[in-house]
Amino acid sequence: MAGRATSRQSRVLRQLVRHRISLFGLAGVSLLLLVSIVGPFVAPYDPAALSPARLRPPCVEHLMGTENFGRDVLSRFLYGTRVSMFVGLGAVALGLVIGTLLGMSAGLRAGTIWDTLIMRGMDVVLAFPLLVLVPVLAGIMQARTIQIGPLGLNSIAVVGLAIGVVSTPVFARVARGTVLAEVREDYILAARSFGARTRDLLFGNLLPNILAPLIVQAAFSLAIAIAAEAAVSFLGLGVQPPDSSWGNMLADARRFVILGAWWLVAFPAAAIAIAVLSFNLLGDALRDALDPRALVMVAPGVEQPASDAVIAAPVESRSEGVVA
Amino acid sequence: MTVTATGTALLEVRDLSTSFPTERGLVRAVDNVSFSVQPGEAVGLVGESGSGKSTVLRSLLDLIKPPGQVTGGSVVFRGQDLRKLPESALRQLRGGQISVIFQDPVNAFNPALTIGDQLRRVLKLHRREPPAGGYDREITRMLARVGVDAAGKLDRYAFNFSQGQLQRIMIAAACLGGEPSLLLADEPTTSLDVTIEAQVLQLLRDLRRELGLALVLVTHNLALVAELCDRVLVMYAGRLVEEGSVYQVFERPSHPYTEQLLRAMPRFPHTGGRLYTMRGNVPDLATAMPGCPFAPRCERYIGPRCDTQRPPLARSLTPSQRAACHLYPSVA
Repeated sequence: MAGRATSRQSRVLRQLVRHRISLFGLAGVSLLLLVSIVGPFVAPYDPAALSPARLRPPCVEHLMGTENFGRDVLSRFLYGTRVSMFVGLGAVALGLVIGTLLGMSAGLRAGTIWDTLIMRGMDVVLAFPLLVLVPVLAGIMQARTIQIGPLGLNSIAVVGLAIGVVSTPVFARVARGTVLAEVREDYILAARSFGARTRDLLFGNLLPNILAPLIVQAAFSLAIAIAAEAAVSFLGLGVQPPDSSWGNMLADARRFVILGAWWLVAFPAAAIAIAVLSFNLLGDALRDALDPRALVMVAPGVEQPASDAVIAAPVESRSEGVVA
Repeated sequence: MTVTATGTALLEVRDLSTSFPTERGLVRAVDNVSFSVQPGEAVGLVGESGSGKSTVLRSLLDLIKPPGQVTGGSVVFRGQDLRKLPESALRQLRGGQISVIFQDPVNAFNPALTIGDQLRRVLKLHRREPPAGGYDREITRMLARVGVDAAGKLDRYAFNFSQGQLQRIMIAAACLGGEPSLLLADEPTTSLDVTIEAQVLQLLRDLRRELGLALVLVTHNLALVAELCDRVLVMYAGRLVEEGSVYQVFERPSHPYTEQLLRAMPRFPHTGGRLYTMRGNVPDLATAMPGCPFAPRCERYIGPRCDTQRPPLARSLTPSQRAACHLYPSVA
């Protein structure tokens, strides 16, 4: 076999690029990340700077127009993108880590009190509709200033935290289910028989095997988290002024839309739509690309055929003859 | 390392019992099994499917999956009872002095990790410091020893290797942790084709000679036992029914089960006529058996005693052969 062994990461990436739809998702996500990183550096104005030029439609000086206090919509949008993405990513990261840890430990002790306690707790969180629980949590946390040591939580962190709590159960369920399936596998028994500790089993052996569904779930959860942040901020319970986010930009715009100030609504709304769509498409694409069968069956170094079909037949290892 | 016949057993198993709770009641998969393994000795553990032979193997190192549980007995390895050891000490033994080889090497490797990764882990679990020349050199050396050319293959996954190669890699892993003195092999060649099987067997034989390894071989393949083992233990329905040297047991089986089992084996040259089949089926382990579990299928049934009284493992045809059968009166 001439080809060098290619890593799994690059193979997943190739798989993603091959599909046009998933490429769109990837491009959308990349664009949003880029905007949220460099946006504030290229913003033409201070997002909080007032000016007498109020409710200007888009023009050369104000590419996205200005709002009722004369603040530049583009600058607010660039800062707001960072806030919205930060809240979404932070919330999902929190939910992913905590949910995975809880789910894995529940799966490992399936059938015990510990398992029941964790999973029923998750059910309680799941029982409330997302758009009810997040405002309530955010409202409760917002009501008093939360001080953790010297760190005060601002409204952005509070919304992230609230959405993080709400997105935890999904990850716990996915993690528990996959752990339940994997823990019966022979390789776990073999690892134990070679002296592996529970810690090794959990993070060394199980985690790599359950990562794929968790990553896919993370992409979908990001779409939900971004929409949730927008909704909560729109209701005035999320990110508080003077900070801007897509959601509170829409909320501020509410009263002026009827006056014909379409530019106040169009850009944040389009951003939310693109973000939700992109993360959903990325999730779909990741699900295909990380398909465990595709992972196991495609040998590194074996070039895949050009077709889009997921390879389902085992690829024989060719280079290894039996060494006598 | 040479085998020293000190007379003290390497492994001394006493009244080992393991059971699994099921909806139909407690299944006693291993029922008061006792045996010993001398240093460097190869012992075959045979029986049909469901006789509890694999469970015995796993019980030794407390590898039973919950809700199954080792419920009684002692497993004394080099003078220390493994069942009383703290988990951390037992872990050091696993893959260190006592290693396990599994039946299906394909599933015994983690599909998401490279082979090199997994072997490095075994090594790191058992060595405080990296060996001279680094982990990879040690791994490559051990792989070469079992006949796998590791050059450039450590970053490949299990599915890139053939079954035979994986079984060799597993054997290498079993020897990586340190100086194993006992190898527990659970049907190590069942999933291999005959040529590869022969090679793996030769490898096991060589390693045993070189390292002075004792071997407990679980299999239903009697030919394998005859080829590789010194002594044989025959299990039936979770119990040990016969024990003796391979030669004695195969030449003059003393327990009716062993006798009927051997008769059911095809012989070459075939002398014509139908092959013998044992009537009946293995008993349900969830129902209590006060007598001999083999009684309903036994051709030498000697009366109600077989149904009501459990026969102890007692001296049978020859002084070093024991059988659990009422045909042989136990001398107290």
